[in-house]
Amino acid sequence: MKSILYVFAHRGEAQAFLKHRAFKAVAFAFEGLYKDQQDWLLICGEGHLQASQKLAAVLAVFSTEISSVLNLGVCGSLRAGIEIDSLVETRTCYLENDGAMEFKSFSSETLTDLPKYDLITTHQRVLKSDYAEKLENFAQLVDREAWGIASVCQLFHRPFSVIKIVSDFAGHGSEICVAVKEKAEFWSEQLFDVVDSLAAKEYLKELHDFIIPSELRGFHWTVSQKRELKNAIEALQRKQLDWNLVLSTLNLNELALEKTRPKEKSSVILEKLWGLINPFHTKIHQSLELELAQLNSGTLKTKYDKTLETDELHLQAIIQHPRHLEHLKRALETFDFAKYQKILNGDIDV
Amino acid sequence: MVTSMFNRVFVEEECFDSPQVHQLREKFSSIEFKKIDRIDHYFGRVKKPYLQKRDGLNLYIGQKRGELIKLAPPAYGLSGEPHFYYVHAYNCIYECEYCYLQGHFDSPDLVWFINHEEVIQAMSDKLQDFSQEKVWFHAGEFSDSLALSHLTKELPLYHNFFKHHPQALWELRTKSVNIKEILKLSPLPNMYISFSLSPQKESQEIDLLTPRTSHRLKAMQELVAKGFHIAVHLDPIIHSDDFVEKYQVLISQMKEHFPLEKVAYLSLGVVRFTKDVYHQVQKNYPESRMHAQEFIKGLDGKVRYPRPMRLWMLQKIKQLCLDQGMIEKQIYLCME
Repeated sequence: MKSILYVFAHRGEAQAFLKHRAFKAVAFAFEGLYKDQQDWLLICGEGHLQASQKLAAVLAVFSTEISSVLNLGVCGSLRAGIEIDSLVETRTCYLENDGAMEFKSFSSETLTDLPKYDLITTHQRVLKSDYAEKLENFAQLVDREAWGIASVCQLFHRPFSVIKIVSDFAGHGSEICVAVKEKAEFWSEQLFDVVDSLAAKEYLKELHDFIIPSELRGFHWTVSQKRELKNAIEALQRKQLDWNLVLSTLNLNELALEKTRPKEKSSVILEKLWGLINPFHTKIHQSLELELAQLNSGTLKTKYDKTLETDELHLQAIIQHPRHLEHLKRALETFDFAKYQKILNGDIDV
Repeated sequence: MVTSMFNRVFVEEECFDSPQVHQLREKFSSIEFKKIDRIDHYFGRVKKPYLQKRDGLNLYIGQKRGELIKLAPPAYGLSGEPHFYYVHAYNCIYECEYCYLQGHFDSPDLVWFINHEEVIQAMSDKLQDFSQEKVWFHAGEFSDSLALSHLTKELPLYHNFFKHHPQALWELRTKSVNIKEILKLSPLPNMYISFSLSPQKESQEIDLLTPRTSHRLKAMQELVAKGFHIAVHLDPIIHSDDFVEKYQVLISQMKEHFPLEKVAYLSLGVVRFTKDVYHQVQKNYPESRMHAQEFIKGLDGKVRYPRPMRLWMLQKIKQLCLDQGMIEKQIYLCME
């Protein structure tokens, strides 16, 4: 079963999780990694560098066991109206790094009905009002880790979410440190309650394993063919093509009896499916192949621009005998280049 | 409705006391107007997701710096004359699934420039370079030229310029039906209001938040009746099994609303994307039927229909226009 990794900056923020669930320390390169029967928990330390370093190390080793990452903890409010102790979820994470704005941003997966805001991760604590004022132009919330966590999640292709509780109005001095100590337990319990209710709803948005349609299960599918089949079926669905109609064009019974290799039979199915998805494309290539048939006989071979953007036609001829030369001459005499060009210019019946 | 359009309004300090901003502050009294030094210190400095335009749209007001008018790409308008576009705004209130603005500014926030006098001066200078020729100036490259014109209020300034410069041709490109500000002006022989049109079903499914095609046709009808020149962009054309029939209906509807000879020009183009924009479309509209199209990715990274298909589609629609009585020289193909 796939697991979630909960990431907190400080132990105080994680205390309710450590208290209510059976997380046990995992022997790892550094302290702060825990696991219970279902999920993982990481205490990464303060700041986006610490967070990204530690998370990258954990995912490098355990990414096959971790399906998503949820950053939890406290954050500051940059805007009046977002009250202290309110639970919030972020939608986009930005980064301020040593006075400059980092262009790259990350959108998080939202999981709850909590109010959604943008969040800016900063390189230092926001103790002064002019600093807070500047940040407020970009986001409503501020923290120290989320952007770093998001960047690592993108690297490892793991969805990430951020649920925070507002601890203070940023830019109002250092009293926050006192408040964190006093209220850490309360805030952690609040976060735990949110996550607990989410777990009950099975909020993990896992990619469902692709199930091969029953009619096609009797054929052999390699991994890449299975992927292609998944793409083809999604494309068919987007085109709203009737599945029974699709099946009738595949002639599966006949195909099953053919004495070709299993992989080739699956290729034929894929080719037919793509033909249904891209009928115009198929028609053009068929018309071109038909027009070029006489140049593709014997020892002659043609190659046209597969993107169809140019009229270029490459001809390869192997001449080993006078009759090969005669064949080439005849083929060239009868080949109608203008007709070939007309197809490329869209003069085609569809 | 208007008051909930923006989360906040950021105004460059030097524009804060301008009459335009004063007027807007009165109109949007419930929205916070915040002074900033320069728009480019904030807008586009971070990548803001495109779909945040739905519930987190900011407005920036300031001065357009740098190039005020730009040479239009090839096949932008009728051939034979130089084409330029001027930029009065960035971004759009509509949400067309194929829109290239998704990948252009890295932010969906609206930007309004208010130094129109400088833009007009740049146009005047440009006319000097082409003293013997007609020169086109288009509005609507980075934003709909009419959708918010009742708020931006710049049209009379430009109208006055074009009135006194018949050598200059003015095109206002739009998908809106907001023609109130146009109707306050007098028609000019060198002024063209061009509407992008698509069959109703396409428009509803893909041109999100835009006015219905039938309403756009009515707006065009009204403009024609008042003596304004109109033009049509059937662009982007999107393929479906019955796209020819749909366009046949659309062209008949056009004909019911105004004589087709009143269409100064009609452009035809099929849907196409740069690689980056297509990536954004996939991200923003994963369920769009656009992804069921027979696109190919060329060596140049462009995502579009294969050339035979593009030409075939364009020819089909062009023929429909000709069959309905339009003439060759009214129609041009917008190839890329």
